[in-house]
Amino acid sequence: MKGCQEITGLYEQGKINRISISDKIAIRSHRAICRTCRQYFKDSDLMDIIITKKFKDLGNYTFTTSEKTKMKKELENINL
Amino acid sequence: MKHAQVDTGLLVEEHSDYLLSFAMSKLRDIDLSKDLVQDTFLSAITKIDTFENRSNIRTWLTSILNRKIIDHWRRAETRYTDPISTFFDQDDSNKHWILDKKDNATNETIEDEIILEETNDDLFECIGKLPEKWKGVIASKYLDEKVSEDICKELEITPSNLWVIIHRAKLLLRDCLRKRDVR
Repeated sequence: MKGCQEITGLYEQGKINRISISDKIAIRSHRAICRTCRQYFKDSDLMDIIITKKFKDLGNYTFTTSEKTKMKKELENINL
Repeated sequence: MKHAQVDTGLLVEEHSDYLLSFAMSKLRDIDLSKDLVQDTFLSAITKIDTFENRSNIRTWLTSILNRKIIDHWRRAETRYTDPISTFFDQDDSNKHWILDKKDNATNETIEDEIILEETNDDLFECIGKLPEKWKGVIASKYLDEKVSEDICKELEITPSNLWVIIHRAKLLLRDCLRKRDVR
């Protein structure tokens, strides 16, 4: 019988690659008896959604005026 | 020389902040992001002859930056001092812990805290603690939504490495978010 680490790993593998029918059955039967892994599956799906959403929010980061001036000077020197 | 015609001042003025935000969305490290943006301008100036006006200059700069980010991840150390999540016992003899652990904190949902807006900072702080290459995998998968084959090719990892990294990264992020909640 596969342990929790293997089962949750298979679950992640199944999201990326094709997994065998026997692995799918192993996940299902494990899910039926293991509350902790059921919670992991739920958290994993939620993390997929939330990380995608948060990554899309491109924050606003800026160089300071002095950093920009310095950068311009350095580039101008190369451009000579 | 053709590249002498480039107005570097205008280039920096118009695109540096955008490029910095782009780098930060992937790297979550302000100093590193600034360095790579500066490198991007340097490369752009020296390679300006290869720029074809068919594409937008910002798109071209972004592609140079993106290449630099991928190179950074590729070079990065994959080893991590403690990649094992507390979700699992470090001791293999206790693999079948299905019922023993049912009241453990791991059973708690992270749903409530993760959907809160303040989780935004926490989440990125937790992602920031992951090994560099893992961050690359996470950003390529969730930000760029690249297919697995492309991620593996770019970061020079095998398909099985990919899901192992995602699995471990998720376990660590889960632990990290929970710890922050407890604090």
